[in-house]
This record gives sequence, structure tokens and C-alpha cells, in this order.
Amino acid sequence: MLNSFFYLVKQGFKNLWNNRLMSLASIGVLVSCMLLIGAAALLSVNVSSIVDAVEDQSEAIVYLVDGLSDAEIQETRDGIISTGKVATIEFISKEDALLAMMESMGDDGMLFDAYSKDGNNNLPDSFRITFDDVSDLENTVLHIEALSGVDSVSALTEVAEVITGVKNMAYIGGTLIIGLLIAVSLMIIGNTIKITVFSRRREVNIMKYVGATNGFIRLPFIVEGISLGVISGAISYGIIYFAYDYLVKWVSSQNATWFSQIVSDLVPFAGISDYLLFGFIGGGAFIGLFGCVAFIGKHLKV
Amino acid sequence: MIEFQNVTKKYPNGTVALNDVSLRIDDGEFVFIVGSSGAGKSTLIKLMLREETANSGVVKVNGKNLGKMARYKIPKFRRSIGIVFQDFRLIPNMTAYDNVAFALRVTNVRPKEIRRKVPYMLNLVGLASKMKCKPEELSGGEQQRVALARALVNSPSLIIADEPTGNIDPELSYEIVDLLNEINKLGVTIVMVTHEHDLVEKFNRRVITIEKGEVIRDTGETEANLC
Repeated sequence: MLNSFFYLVKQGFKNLWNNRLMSLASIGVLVSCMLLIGAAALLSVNVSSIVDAVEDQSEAIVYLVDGLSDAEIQETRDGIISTGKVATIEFISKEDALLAMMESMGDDGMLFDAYSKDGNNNLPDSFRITFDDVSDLENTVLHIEALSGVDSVSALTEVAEVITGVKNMAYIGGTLIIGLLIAVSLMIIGNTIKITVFSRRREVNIMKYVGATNGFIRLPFIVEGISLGVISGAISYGIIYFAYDYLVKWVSSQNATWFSQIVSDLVPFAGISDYLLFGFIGGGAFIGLFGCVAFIGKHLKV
Repeated sequence: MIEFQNVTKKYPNGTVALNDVSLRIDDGEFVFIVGSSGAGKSTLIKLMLREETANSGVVKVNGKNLGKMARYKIPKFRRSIGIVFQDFRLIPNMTAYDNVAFALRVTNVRPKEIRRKVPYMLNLVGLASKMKCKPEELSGGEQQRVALARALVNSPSLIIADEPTGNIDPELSYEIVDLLNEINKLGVTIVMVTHEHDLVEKFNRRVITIEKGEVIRDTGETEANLC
């Protein structure tokens, strides 16, 4: 039994070479499809990452009612955290706020010197908060405003809506495009495998007449299909690796500030390489295996 | 032994290929099956190989009722039969050696046994020097001899040859049938479909004639034994 197994596996690799033109065509099709899917996935991941970075930078200032005790301030802080959407929270006392304002005005800040005296500072205590998730920011703000120690909240809810919209669009659009590309790829790959199997139906037919079992006929095809998938996956991974690396270097060499901002938010290849490698090679092997088993079936009914 | 009992085969397009055919071929016989094109000869062969099943009647080969045979048992059944086709049906990217060895490999024969049997068989059909040639490097007659070696290598008790001389020169045709004749002398049953009357006349064996899906003439076993 083991003799047959090794012979059939060897035969699968031999067939890969014997039918090299068809193998090359299959690899070409597989690589093209994988590159499209990989590029779409990378684009989607990066758009998400950039939007996430923008999201992280969105902040709000929560102004507190004047004259709160330390316990009340702590109570209000707990209330804000309990919304579950806050990433960081920083207390800014009215004194710190005045100092910050005076610093930001440079020399003109001296004009506010008089306010720094006891009792003259009319600025409120506040919390500066950043968000984990800006979706539904309007409701979060309403929730915070309803807290007893809160006077008002200043947040760019409209910007947050745009960010959430872009993020959703990137997610839905990315998923749709990848799904569509996978479907199209499967159809193209399916047809390529169909042609490969069809061109060798005579060989399959002869094997059946000699008394070969379906498993005996299938195994070399399966080895061939998996090999084609793995080879294509490795080639696609290599191309994506170099292309992405080149792209990141090119973007970082540009002087524009917004470009450098984007670069800092691009997902590093190392961060996604494992998923890509697994996806390409695993997916390729699965497609090769599935395609062979599915399309060879009808030629086995002899 | 091959036995057809009132066998009718009708294809889905309505063509009746065989109509109530009954015949019996005993072990060790050499039978020619003749008939014009479309007479039903190929269907007869397909039924013997369990490539098709009869709509009615019983087909038995080597004691097995093929109509009741489960699909998974077909490969094992076919290994007990040697098959030779008009178009040789050799696997194009395999050498003559590998084509013959393939029939042994499907039966899970040990490599040592394969290395012993295949050269012996190729030597028997006179192709010992062309073991490493691929089919495209061999003449029609040589390809048919490789096919014959492949059919013989599993020591079958029955060889079915579907117009084995159809694609080769007349002189080589006699050689092939001579070879089959020698094999028959070893006790192997031979069923050969042909439309070459010269061959049939020269070898003077039992002849079953089929026309329009019916057996219209059977010279019978007794006549065959006269030669």
C-alpha cells in the first residue's frame, strides 16, 4: 500500500513537469487571482488602519460644573469611563487650562495675568478624553452631558460621523471586493482545472480500463493540484512582499507631510505577512485540492 | 466464461444496440465477433467490461453477474481481464515499461515483482529493446504489442480485444493475432472484435456475427475445435 502511495505522489510531481505548459498556465491564473485578492486585502487593511489612527486622534473636552469637590470630580470621571468608549482621560484643572491658554498665546498671554489671581479664573475644570470607538459619538456625548457634574461637552461629532462612515465603507467595500474577487478567481481557476483534467481525460479513461481505483487515479492529480496551489501561493507572497516593500519605501521618500503621516499609519508587512502566507498557500492548496477532486469526478465514471 | 442471457441494451437516445442477445463463451475459447459498423459489437464489449449495464437480461463474466456488481468492485473485476483496443490506449507520457508496469501497480504489486515481470512481458511480445521508448516513438504495431503486454501482465484468464488490428498494417495484424493465438494455447480465453474477414478466415475459429443488435450467426464452439 505504501509502495503505491509513494509511487502516486512521485507520479503527481512527474505530471507537473510532463504537463508543464498547462501547469504554467494554471500557475499564471492562480498568481493573478491571488495578487488581486492580496492587493484588495492590503488596501482594505491599510484604509482601516489609517482611519483607526485618525479615530485615535479624535478627542473631546468635558467641561465640569464650577465648584465640584474632589469626590464629585472622581464620581464624574467614573461616569465618563463607564460609557465604555473612552481610550484616555486626563483631568485639566482650571489653573492648568489658564496656563495652557496663556502659553498658546505667546507674549500676548501676559494679558491674562490678572485672571491667574485667586478667584479671578473663570475657566472651568475639565477632562480631555480620547475615544476607542467614535461610532455613535453623538449618543456617547449625550450620555456624558447627562452626568451631574458635567456642564457641557465639546466634541466634533460631525467629523466622527465621517470617520465612522469611511471606516464602514472601507470594511464593507473591502469585504465585497475581496468576496467578489474570490468568487471570480474560483470560477477562473475552476475552468483552468477543468481544462487540465479534460485534456487528460483519455489518460484517466485508460487507467480505469486497466483496473485503477478512483483513489489511485485521483491521488497524482491531488498532489499536482496542491503543488500548483502552493507554488502559486509562494510566488504571489513573494511578489506582494517586494511590491509592498517598494511602495512603503516610495511613499516614505516623498516630502509631503500628509504622505509621511500616511506612512506612519501603514500596516507593516511583518504584521500581516503570516496571514498572507497562510491565506495564499493554504488557499492555493485548498483550491488545487478541491478543484481536482470536483472536476475529475465525471471522468471517473467509466 | 462469458454468458449473455436475453440481453437488451437501449441507449437514452432510443437506439437499441443489442436486442435479446444470448450467447455463451466457455473458458479457453478463441472467438471472433464480427459485424458491420453500428451492429452492436462495441456495446457487447462495453457490457463485458461493465462500462455499460444491460436494460434487461443477465451478463455474467467469470461467474460474476455484472448487472448486480457494485461500482467499487469494478476496478478489481477489470484487473482480471486483459483489454486491448484498436487505438492502443497507452498513457502518452509513460514509457513502454511504465505503461505495462502501471497495470501491476494498480494491483499493488511489489516493486521487485514489477521489475521482474515487466521486462519478461515486453520480451515476450518482442519489445525488450524498446522498454524506455514512449508511445509516440513506437510504430502502430509496436504500440499494440505494448498494449498486449499490458493486458497479459496480470495473468488474466480472459482477454478482450476490440479491433486490435484496426490501426496497423495487414502483415502486423497477422502477427498480433498469432500472438493472441499463442496466448490462447496457454488456456486464456480470447474474445476479439474485428471486421477483417481475411483474418477470420485464416485463423478459422468460432465466429459470432452480429447485425442490428442481434446475433445472426454463430459458428459454435464445436466448429472452432476442428482446427
